[in-house]
Amino acid sequence: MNNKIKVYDIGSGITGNAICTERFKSSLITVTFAVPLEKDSASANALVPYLLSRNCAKYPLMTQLNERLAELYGASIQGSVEKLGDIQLLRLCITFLNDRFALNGESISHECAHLLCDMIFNPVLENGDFTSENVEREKRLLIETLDSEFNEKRIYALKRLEEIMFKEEPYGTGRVGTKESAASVTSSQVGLAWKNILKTAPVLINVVGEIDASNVFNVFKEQFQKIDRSKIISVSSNVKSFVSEEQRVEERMDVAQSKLVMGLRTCEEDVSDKAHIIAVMTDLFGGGPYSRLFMNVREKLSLCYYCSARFIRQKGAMIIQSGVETKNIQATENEILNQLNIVKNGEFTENELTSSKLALSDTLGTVNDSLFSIDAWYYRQFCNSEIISPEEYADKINSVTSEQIVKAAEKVQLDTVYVLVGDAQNNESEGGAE
Amino acid sequence: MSVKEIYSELLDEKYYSINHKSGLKILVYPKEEYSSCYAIFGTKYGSIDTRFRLEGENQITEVPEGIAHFLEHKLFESEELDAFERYAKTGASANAYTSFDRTCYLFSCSANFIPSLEILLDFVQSPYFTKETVEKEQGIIGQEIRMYDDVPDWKVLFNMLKGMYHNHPVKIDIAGTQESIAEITDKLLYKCYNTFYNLHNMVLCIAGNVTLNEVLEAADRLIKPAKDQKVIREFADEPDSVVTSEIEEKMSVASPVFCFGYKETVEAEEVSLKKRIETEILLDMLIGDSSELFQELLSEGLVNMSFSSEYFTGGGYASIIFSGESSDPRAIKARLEEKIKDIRRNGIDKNCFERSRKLLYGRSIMSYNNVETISNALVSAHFLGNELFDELNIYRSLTSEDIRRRLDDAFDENRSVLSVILPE
Repeated sequence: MNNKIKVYDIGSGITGNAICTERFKSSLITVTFAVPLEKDSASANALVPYLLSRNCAKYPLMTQLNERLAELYGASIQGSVEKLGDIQLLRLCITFLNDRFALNGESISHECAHLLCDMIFNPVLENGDFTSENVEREKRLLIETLDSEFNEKRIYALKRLEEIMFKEEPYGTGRVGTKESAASVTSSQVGLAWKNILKTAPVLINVVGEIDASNVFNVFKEQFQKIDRSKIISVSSNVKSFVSEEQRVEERMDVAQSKLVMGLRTCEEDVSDKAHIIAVMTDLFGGGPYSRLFMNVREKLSLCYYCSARFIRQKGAMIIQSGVETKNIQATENEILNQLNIVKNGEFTENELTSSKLALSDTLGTVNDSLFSIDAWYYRQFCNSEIISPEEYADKINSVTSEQIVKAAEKVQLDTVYVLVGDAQNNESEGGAE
Repeated sequence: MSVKEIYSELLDEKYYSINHKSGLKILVYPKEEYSSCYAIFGTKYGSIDTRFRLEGENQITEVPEGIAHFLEHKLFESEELDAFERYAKTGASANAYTSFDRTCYLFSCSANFIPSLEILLDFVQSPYFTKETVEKEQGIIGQEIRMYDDVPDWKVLFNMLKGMYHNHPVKIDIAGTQESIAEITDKLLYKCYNTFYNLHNMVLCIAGNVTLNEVLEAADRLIKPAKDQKVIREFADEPDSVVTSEIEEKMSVASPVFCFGYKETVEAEEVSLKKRIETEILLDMLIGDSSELFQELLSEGLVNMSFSSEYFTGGGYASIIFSGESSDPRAIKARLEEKIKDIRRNGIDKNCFERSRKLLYGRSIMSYNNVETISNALVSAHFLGNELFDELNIYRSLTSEDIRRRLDDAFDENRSVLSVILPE
């Protein structure tokens, strides 16, 4: 039940992935632009996909666009921004019902491909720039998104760790920049960013579902051919393979639960051929409920409510997140490092390794059952030299040995500890109507 | 035992509804072309079930708030390996959740389906609680409660519910409080388990790469027959009125978070599926993404993409809720009420109705892409007393007149509650 991927060369720096499958009721098209993540341009770039997703010259009012999407049986267009290592991905996605469900025999997919193309190439412009009304709205929405990330302390603490640990690297910049950088962007900067992206950014178009992909690619090809794409920028992520100096930052806030976030470096010169080994090692250490962190830090010692580790492949980094009571911060930190040492010393069982491999390959087996996970699987490999399928990756995962894990774990070094210390341990808030 | 096949011509898909001889309802939705499977073993038992008795009993049992959620945590344990350790041998990804009116144990997998199903059926039917394990869990859940104390979206909702409900237990936090969970004992857990984890009160729903026969074979082997008993839920009377119309609290947030709702009276135990769908359409027409009002509020800077609306309903409670972040929640509420008056005066725009209906109908079909969504929808439909495909049929048969009638009894301004979390 594997999906076959067909790769197309659509133009200079433009790749098309077609994953044709009839198992879904709907299909999707995504267009991903890759640009270097930089402090100075992050906010202006980030505004582009959001702006493009709200309206276009043909449907200048958001109500008009949304009416059109509703007529297309609830098709939806989404703009999004992600960081993939030191790269900023600017994405537009349209999902729509397959033609066979149309009540009046219309071709929803054809309409949707043209619509998405229109959104990207023919936005609402005034003297060549985005209108200030549209730009100001998106700036506000971006700033409010950052506000809501602050409200969610789990996300906020992770962001703080990334800022501190990667302050000398592009990855230390937030995916959409900061509130300050978002507030200072001008309409002409966003307009320029849009034009630059169309001209110079590597592009990936994914088409997933029951749809004639070559038709879709032709629609986009026609538009891209009108643009001079002779100078395509190269984008890549750098891995820092050593720890300069261990850092520790504590901040206090009036919250009930403290957050402990630890950033480590895997200290590999070249992560790409060892990524699957580090992925298994991270999972065995702090992935599922069978992992060292879950079984010991949470279950056995009840030190925290959650405690897990994640591998950031593009940066060769491992990040541990945990929610703890203030009095347990130090004990939790010690125990996390103790568990890491156990992995380094190879004092884990073959069963633990088998559990990790089983769980990881089982999850890989579900990728092909969702449009969104298929799309994600391939766009996240956008900047990799070699593209592999979930099945091929599962084979690599299953080949990992204890020796390889120990070897990889031995190199792991703590880089940064960030603690959000909760002050509100004893003052129960008095909200509510009781 | 009886097996019924339920087919949707529109989707060209079917599922099987089985009345198993044990008393358990089993629903199997095969998706041969998929690689994965998603299974849920659920009971109609949630945080609101704090007062109950069995049919034939006179005495009402009253239990501490948060006990359904506590029980969910504890059921994963056994005298030997806990459920997670057992799933670690199959590779399935397992979890559980407790909501206001149900507790569900679930797993998803792309291999070893039957061994994982065996674990699910076994551990949910094998309670093991002792004084020591209960005490230990009080610590872990205490931390979970503290974590939610810091989540503004969660706080703002429960503040609103406390303002809306005098007595109905929907106002209590699903996990309970530090104090209430301290009262939980192993004996109480067994009492709740024996009441609500009776197979007649439960459902097993499976969607994905699975056959009817393999599920039945495992069920015959592993499901222990249960005595046919009926649970009576005893809700204290709930007045129509709200407790208070406004509630504010301060937290560490960058911008105000709000939630406001309109309380409704629930005539039967549950609101009908038709009424639920009518409400969804009404909400989309009124303030969905493509509505005039939403676009106005967006361009005026009053709402952002976090804004959402919901028909919040379950056993004995119903309200229409709007939530999000905004510098001026009161202005949103005023504009919404103005718009409602306008529609009441001028009637429903037929085009607008058709658009909303088409949109929700399309989204509803798309939801059949996902085995997780299907399994959860099977559970919901069963506990509501519906068939899964009823929803699609209702979308096709509704008229704008239905929506007009629905509007008549919605949005009672005298029964609204506005809850806001303000920056410190």
